[in-house]
Amino acid sequence: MTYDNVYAFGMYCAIVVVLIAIVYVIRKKSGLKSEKYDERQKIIQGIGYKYGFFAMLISSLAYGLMMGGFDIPIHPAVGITACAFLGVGVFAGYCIWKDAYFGISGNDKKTIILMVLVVIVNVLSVVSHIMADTLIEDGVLGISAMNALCALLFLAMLVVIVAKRWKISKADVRSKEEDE
Amino acid sequence: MKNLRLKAARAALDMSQQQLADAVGVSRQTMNAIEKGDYNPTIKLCRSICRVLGKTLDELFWEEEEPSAEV
Repeated sequence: MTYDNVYAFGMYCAIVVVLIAIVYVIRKKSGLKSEKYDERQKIIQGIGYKYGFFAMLISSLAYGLMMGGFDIPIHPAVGITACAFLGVGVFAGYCIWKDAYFGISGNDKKTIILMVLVVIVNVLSVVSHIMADTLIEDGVLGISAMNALCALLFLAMLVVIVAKRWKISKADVRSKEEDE
Repeated sequence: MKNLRLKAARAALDMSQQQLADAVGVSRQTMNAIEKGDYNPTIKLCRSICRVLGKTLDELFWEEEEPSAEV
């Protein structure tokens, strides 16, 4: 690892720790309780974890094998993070599609707004890296591509949320027609 | 198999899926899945639903077995 990479990694860690601390303090002060899930949602989440775990495992193995056999122009940290994000994406996507991602209250607006913000911030970061020509370092997709991965993950989740909402609205119309 | 008895009992009390779901502490989608027969609820949830709708477990959830064809 070069000095720049270690510095960037340290910065990321610091940001994550500060964010966790802020969320913890806000939740504690506002008396917010964690989201509750019903029995069906917990079962779905269990299945989602399984799919997510296997997706991560298989992609990590594939990435490891490819790293051994080919000269992939991707920073190893980006590759491993992509595998982890794939696992998270599979879990989240499955849970969203099966109505088990948001809790009983169905209060999903804040989460969706947060997701949109995360996508915007990361896309802006990627654009700034492209403009500064720092996305690819020495012919290798650098650690700054993590922002692109993050944007891609949350964008995919948003797409699944929109598709699911469209499906629910269609199903509601159909059931109303059946009732009439 | 759709649980039409549950749907009818809910409609008789003029309750929406959301209202029944709130009363028993589950999401609307879970209640929808139970009515559509996509999810088999636990006995605990069945009892909660029965209590809210004023019905017995038999009335809402017991399925009469179809008589097997005589040989």
